[in-house]
Amino acid sequence: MGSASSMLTQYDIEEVQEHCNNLFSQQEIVSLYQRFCQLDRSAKGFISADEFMSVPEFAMNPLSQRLLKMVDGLNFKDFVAFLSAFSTKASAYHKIELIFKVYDSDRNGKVSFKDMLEVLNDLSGSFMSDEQREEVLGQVLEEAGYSKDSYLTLDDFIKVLGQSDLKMDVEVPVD
Amino acid sequence: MICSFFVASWTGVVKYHGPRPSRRPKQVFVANHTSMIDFIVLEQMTAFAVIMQKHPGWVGLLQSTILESVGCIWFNRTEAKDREIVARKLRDHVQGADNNPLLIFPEGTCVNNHYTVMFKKGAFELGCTVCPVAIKYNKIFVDAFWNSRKQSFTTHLLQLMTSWAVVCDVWYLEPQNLKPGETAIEFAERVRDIIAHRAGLKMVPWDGYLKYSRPSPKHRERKQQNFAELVLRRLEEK
Repeated sequence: MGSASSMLTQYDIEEVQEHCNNLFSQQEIVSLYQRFCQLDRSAKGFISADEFMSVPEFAMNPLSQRLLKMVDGLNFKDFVAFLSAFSTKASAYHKIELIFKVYDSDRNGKVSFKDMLEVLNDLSGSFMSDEQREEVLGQVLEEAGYSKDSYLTLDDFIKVLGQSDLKMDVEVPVD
Repeated sequence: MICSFFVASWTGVVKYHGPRPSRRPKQVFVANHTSMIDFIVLEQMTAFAVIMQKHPGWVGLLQSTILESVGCIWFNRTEAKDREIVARKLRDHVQGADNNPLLIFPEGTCVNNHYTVMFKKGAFELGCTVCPVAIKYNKIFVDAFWNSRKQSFTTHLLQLMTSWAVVCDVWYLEPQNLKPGETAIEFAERVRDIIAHRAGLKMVPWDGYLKYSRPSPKHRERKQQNFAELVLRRLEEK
């Protein structure tokens, strides 16, 4: 660990690959490791919140704080497991599960109207009023057959999002 | 001459393409930037004057003594007012017929030679011809990218000298002028495209200075604004 040229043994690569259910190829894992080491400037074995924020696109993402909570302090193996939801080989279920976790910030397995409002707030900032957000959310829920009092589970999310194209694929550059 | 020796010290194999730059007033050279050695690679062929960030340590000393002789303009990235002063110095230099042709790296910082980041418009609003120069290093022999966030220049230089060779191609490209109705920024982007195309570099829409500072909140806000507008428009349609 340390500089970008530090080696991952074949055993390490296989262990990481198994941990992410083979959703990344071995070359992709090597590329990800190089990037991981670049971001982990002080070679601690994990990337700190501050180091994540040094990636410009990440810092500009309105959901960055929520994502940070999910990735802060992960070691490389767990980090790859987290990223594997973005692999082209990952199932829709896997991707929707990640989306669900973004909404379910208190991790109680249920997403309430309030939880969804908070995410909508992150996404729209000062460009929508609270009333507008409530109205939009109310309509969205109604169209999907829910109400403002509903608590959505992962299964509900899958029912609603399962048929649409999620566009949650990322290509890992391989040298 | 000095540059040739320096280049030889890291076994530099440089191939120059295109017509050698001629000394004419009212022209400025721009190139993509990978390392401080870009300047030396180009200087080997033609005496350029250059605009540079003043560095601490022995590099600063080198800059002050040797580079003064070719005519250098200094800037300080961290000083806010610096920009106007430098813009004036640039304009004065370009007007003078006796000065060495001015070489500017519009990216404003070293980039990894796979991409080009956004060009700063300063070089393109001087009211003169812009001659693009493209530099591409062959990575097989050594990675010439100086990651100033990770290494000091001394370490970088040592690394270059102990590697096999620095192999690169330099292309002197057709001089460009501001087209009627074109803004300085559009001009900069057009020239960046010419350089990136020649050197096989990808163009990315990032500001090179993001290397040094965090993106301002306005980027995030713009995303929020786009999202909000999209959602509200859908709401209207109902």
